[in-house]
Amino acid sequence: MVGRFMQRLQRFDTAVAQQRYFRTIRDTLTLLFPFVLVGAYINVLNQALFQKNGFLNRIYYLSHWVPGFKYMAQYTGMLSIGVNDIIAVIAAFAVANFVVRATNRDNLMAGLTAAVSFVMLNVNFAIFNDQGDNTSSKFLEGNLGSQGIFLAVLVGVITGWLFSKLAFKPHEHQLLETRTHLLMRAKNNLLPMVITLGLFSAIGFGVSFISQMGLNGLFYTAFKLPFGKISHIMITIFLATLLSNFFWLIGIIGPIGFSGNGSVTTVQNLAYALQHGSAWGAPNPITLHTVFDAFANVGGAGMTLALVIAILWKSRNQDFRLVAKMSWFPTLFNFNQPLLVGLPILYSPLLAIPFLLAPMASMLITWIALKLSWMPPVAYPIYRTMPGFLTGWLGTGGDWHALVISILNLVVSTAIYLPFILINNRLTTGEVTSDEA
Amino acid sequence: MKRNWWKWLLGVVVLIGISWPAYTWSRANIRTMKNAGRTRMAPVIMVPGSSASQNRFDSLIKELGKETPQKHSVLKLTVATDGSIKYSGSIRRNDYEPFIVVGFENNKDGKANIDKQAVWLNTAFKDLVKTYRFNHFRALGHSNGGLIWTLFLERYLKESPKVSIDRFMTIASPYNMESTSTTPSTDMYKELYKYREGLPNSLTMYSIAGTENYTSDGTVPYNSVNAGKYIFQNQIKHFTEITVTGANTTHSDLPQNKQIVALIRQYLLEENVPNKIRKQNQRRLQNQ
Repeated sequence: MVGRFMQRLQRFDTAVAQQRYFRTIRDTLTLLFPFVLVGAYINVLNQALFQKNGFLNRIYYLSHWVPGFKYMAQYTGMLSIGVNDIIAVIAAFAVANFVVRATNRDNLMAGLTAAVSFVMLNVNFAIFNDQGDNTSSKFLEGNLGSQGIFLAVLVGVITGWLFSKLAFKPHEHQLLETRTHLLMRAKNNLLPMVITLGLFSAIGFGVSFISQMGLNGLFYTAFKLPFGKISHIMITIFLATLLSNFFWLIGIIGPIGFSGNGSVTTVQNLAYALQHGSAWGAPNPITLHTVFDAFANVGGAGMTLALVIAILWKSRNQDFRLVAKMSWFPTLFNFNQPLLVGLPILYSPLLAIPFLLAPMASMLITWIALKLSWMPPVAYPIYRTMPGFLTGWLGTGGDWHALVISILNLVVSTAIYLPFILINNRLTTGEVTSDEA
Repeated sequence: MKRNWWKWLLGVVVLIGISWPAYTWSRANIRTMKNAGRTRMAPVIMVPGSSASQNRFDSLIKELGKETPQKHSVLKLTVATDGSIKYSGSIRRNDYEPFIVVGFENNKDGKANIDKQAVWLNTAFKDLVKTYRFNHFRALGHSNGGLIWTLFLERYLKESPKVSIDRFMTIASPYNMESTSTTPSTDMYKELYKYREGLPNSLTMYSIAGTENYTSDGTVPYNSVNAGKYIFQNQIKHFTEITVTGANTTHSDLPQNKQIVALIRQYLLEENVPNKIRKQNQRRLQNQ
């Protein structure tokens, strides 16, 4: 039974991998990998090391003794803005580029057009208000980073499709470009270029009447809708997490993500714990914060630290091993973006299943432990960059039971990822050609 | 396996090197949080007028958000008739000046309702103080919301003795209800006048009136707003009345009126506003 299911999954994964647009997207993600990887290390520097709430800064009191801490914070902040906050523009370029290359049209032109189109969807219309002072930016930078990947992929695919259909003459690569040939390229691609730009500028302009934050903002408002009211009932927390993690899989990074320490229930828990000197009996034991943030987000969404462990332990896929070896460090501090685009997890049917299941299992274990009063809920502040397996322990003020639960969650999640890594092993050893064309 | 033993050792060393300082830090952190006792927080609490929900100030908050350098997070409360409170939104960590909007399930007009709403405001206020442990705040009331605030300040703020009010602003609050008379005499006014000695002496307060014609802003008579001065005079430290007239001065447009947004920034939030706005506000004061 299980064997048959696994076989079918294996075949499905291979079939999907050969689908043209899907392949294009996966190629793009792999192309993005080095940028995302560098970005993740920068994030670790910037957010875990050189920020007030950074985990390493907190525990080693870096701001007290590292000279020039403030300048390092600014410098790494700059790096983060420069690399991470424009990743979606690169994605739009790459997707269109790969789509068009497959149809033998001018891929460079298509890529550039897609990048410009994507940026056009993210113009900040607030600058046209007569009230607008000069300080506001011309672009909605928030949408150009990893949050924009889904839209960027969409723009890239549409641009690529338009170029494939509307550019009539095939493109010939020349080793030495001549002026005449370049001008020919301009002439051949003018129609799809103008139509693509016209299309996306019209969409961007239209959306500006509805949403201040561009099309991406509209997306996120829509995708956030189901998360408006997450009550304390476990089933809704389950469903919300499932849906949110599914959104991650298709490149909509974190509609709910890390919910932080700000919600009313969390503050009430903290107030209680401070008054009573312990987190036992806090008024809101089961919330998104105490269950998901603290126990089901180890290594980022999808318990990806477990995936790293599973790969390094059992995988014989050299690509997987390479990505995991390069990405384990940022994953420790919950930056899993390199894994998302490197393996890739995004748009991968094989890894999607454990990516969705592992957090569910962790939340179930946590919920049972909380229900049986085997450990107190997380009441003290925890931070985004805290290593996931320590969050429960530190958030309960150092309760050993919580540490045991965290480790148990990690072990169970690794066990969930393991069979899928083994399937992947069979893929790589069995049919090398079809996976790595 | 042989060549791997030092990797394992390194892993264990790193793990301990992180876990132990993390643990000591977390204990120390909890200790300081316990001792600090109070936060730096001073929220801006807003109460909408009758028939308006907790979403009444959304456009004002948006206007303020466009201009102000710091982003304020928004928490909304709805108090039910039995005194139970529904929360929505959240206060961001490190936001020391969040906006809190208190709406009421029963938000009807009339003295009897306003009396009740003041009690509900007190319920919500005490819950907020308990949860967020602030000990000073700013208050903004639109229309009847200003009356609810005034009653609260006169009668119920005493119940939270550790908490003091920094600034108070009312926008088009009808201290003499719908009456256009220059000699205030409605029951609502009489009640506010009767308890006026309960007002905090150190209060700085601004009452804004809107007019679109000689007598009113379309809903609230100017004379009724003006009656407020008899309640506050000689009771509080500063009382300033400001009249705004021009575009968008209909009663319900007032909270998001650009001039009033500028006044809120300078006088209620005490922001460091650009000179342009400061001058504009001053000119208005001189023209009174």
